[in-house]
Amino acid sequence: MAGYSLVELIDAFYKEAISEQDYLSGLDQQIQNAQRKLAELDKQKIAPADQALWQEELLPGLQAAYEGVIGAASEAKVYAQERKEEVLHGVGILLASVDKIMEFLALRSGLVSESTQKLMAEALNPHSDGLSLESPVSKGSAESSISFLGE
Amino acid sequence: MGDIQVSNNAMIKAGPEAEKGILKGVEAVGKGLKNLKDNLFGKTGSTILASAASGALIGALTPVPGAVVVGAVAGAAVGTGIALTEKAKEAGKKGASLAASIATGAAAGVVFGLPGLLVVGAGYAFSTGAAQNAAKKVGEFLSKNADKMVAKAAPEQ
Repeated sequence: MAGYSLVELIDAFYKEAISEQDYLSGLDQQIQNAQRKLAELDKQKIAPADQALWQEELLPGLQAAYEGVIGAASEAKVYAQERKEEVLHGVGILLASVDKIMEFLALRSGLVSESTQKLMAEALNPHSDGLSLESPVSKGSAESSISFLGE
Repeated sequence: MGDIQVSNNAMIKAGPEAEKGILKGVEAVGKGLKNLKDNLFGKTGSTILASAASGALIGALTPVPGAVVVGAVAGAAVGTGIALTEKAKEAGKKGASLAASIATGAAAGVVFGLPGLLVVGAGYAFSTGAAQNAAKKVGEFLSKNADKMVAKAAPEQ
């Protein structure tokens, strides 16, 4: 179910627009994607000037957001078995928290260098497959605009 | 079900320098906040959120298709660029208990108290370990940073 966001995936299954198999497969993809991003976070090279904010807020925030997505998607799988709307409500609670964290991180991203901003934009984009390893510490060119911003 | 309270039209409140930096950051990120929604929730998901938010009936198990899916999420989606409310200060104090409560899966009646947020009255216990762990992590982060997420419920006129 490539191309579906987590919410769209759940919504589609709720509306019985997709099969259970596709639903569960799509959730697994969401989980794997988030897990991959989570694992890559520690490999990022961050500009010295951004280190403090990265360690204090950005990294923990991204980790919490990814954990939130993983948890929400995992919980959403339960809905396939139990079909209880309260399960989706629980998923909503987690996603609301993830949303808040991402919004906060987006705001705080404005305080770091361009290279770290680029990393953050990629990290916050759930449609990206993963983070670019070894994010350049040096300044990038103006062309290094964030892909999802150019829509 | 509990009521849902959404703080709309919130604006950032921070020290002058911090606010300047944050606003500059918002500008630098460009359309980021709006597109974040689209990317996190997808175009359709964002529409669902907007629809649910406009109805100000968030978190309730309504018969509106999709609304139930996003539930509380919609509350957070109201008002792009929102940051937090003055109430977040108080919410920050409640953060620890919030983190503890959702960590144990006891999310019933939780008042997140954070920007654009809401009251969720769904006594729901997460059944998966991943969700329980996630609730703990996000709760801790929100709690720790609640003070930085200070804004007000309505813009100054």
